[in-house]
Amino acid sequence: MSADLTSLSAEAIATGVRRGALSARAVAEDCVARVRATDGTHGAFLELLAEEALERAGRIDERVALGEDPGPLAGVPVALKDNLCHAGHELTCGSRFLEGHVAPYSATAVERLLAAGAVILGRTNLDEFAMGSSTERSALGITRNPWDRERVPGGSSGGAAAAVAAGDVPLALGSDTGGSVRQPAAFCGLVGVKATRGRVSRHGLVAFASSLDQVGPLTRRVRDAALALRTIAGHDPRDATCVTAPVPDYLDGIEAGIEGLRVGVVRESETDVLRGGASWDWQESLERLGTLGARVVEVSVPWITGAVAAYHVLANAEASSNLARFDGVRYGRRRVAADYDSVVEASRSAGFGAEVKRRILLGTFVLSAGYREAYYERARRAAAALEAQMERALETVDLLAFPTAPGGAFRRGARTDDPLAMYLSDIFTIPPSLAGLPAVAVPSGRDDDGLPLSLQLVGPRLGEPTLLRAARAFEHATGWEVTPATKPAAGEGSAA
Amino acid sequence: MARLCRLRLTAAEEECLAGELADILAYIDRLTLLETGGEAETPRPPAPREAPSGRAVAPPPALPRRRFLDNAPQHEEGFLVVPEVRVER
Repeated sequence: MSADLTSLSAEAIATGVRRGALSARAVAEDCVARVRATDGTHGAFLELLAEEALERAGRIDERVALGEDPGPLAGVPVALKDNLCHAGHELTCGSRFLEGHVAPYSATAVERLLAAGAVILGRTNLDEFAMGSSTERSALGITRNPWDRERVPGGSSGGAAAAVAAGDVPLALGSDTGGSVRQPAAFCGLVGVKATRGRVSRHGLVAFASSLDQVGPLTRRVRDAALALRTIAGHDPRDATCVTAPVPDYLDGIEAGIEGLRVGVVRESETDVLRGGASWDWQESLERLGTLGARVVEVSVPWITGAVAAYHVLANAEASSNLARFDGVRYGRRRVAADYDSVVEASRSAGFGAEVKRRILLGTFVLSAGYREAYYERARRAAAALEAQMERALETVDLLAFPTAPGGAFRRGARTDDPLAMYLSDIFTIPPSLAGLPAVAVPSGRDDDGLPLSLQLVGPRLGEPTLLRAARAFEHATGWEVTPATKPAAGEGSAA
Repeated sequence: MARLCRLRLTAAEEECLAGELADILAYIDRLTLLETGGEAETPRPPAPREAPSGRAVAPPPALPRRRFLDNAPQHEEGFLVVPEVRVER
């Protein structure tokens, strides 16, 4: 049997496999064939784990035949952003520095996927060390947006987004520091979730900015995102920042609608950057929320205008510290040189790309003597003020609404020579990251070029149930439940 | 600054990065416009975390030496070979 993954959700696959009505192996075969036939056009994958995936899927079928339950993601093919450790597999973070490095253990999120019966199909491309908003900063390949090959898929989880949007897999795991799950979800017409700070373990996620990094799912449907989040969330003693609150069943009540929900629109949010179709789509999204029974009101968060500035001080300060470990001494590509210091300098200089170097320099500068107070401490105060104001706003409303991105996916090369323009791609995703609040991106419409646009909803801490319920109601209202994924030409990719 | 970052930049990289970083820092300076001079607002502290009751959390097993050395650029007889550290006297 051959499954058409452009129509099957993760939930449908898991339900079918658990009942014995669907073969996990057949699903995996279809995915593998599809990737082999089409990934050349969008370049989502750094490595396809075909044989391993087929073998694992076969074992899942055997377990089902024996009356066992492999778990809530039984047989679901999943792609992993290549900054998530998967034991025994290469882990590059999109960097020449780590080419050939093999992860000695698996990330907690990956372990939980596997324990739930998921089938890891492969590693996906990303901006180097998750630093970027377009996946153009990968040292290991180009990823294109399946909607338009001349456009970026977003970043830094661009490979993961492209894999899901193209119909290769129904679920991918990415990481989100300032928007790196939500923005590629927006650019690729997907659902992307960044949970509350500490909701998902960061153990095994290569650190970029430890106070901001979050592992999150990219899917074609809100229900699949809820299922994935339920699987990966929860306390982990190996991550000291994990919250201990129990994980609810995010599918419970997800269809209940949003009648009476109060949705806040931040007065100071810079939505004047929206143009043309993006502006119209934003207004229509707010009207749609109203039609669904929500009450849309204005709230004030003055410090939101400082969010991007504060983020790039704090995130890069943390990154400069986190990336100090990549010195070519214990792991990574070591350059030959006369002594220890020269080896470290040469290895880092040869191994890191321009964006990583830029961020390390910026992060080191803002922490350095004489500048720390003016930059780092000021940014800390700004982030604290923003967090306080967003929390206060969420005491008067149930959710906040923003566009996810200033527009549809931009053209490849359009912003690579202008770092600041690239950073401003995340103008709407950064505030909830700084505040540690959960946020979901859900498709809302298309721009003037026919590219996906997206609504972002932000909730209070541990407010994922309300957030996902609202996203589901919005998704249902738009009718955007299946991505028109890139399809192979007739006769290609069949796994019958 | 590059030395502090343990990076060695070419002249071209220095020139390019200097301009870019100046632009970024100029943008970051907008934070000064937002400060009111009053007492900084602070968020509520996160809810107290409860340790799982009745269970001591055992430390996870250490990474086996052999697995660690699999990724080492150079190793010998079970030890990591480290470049010589030169100390000026």
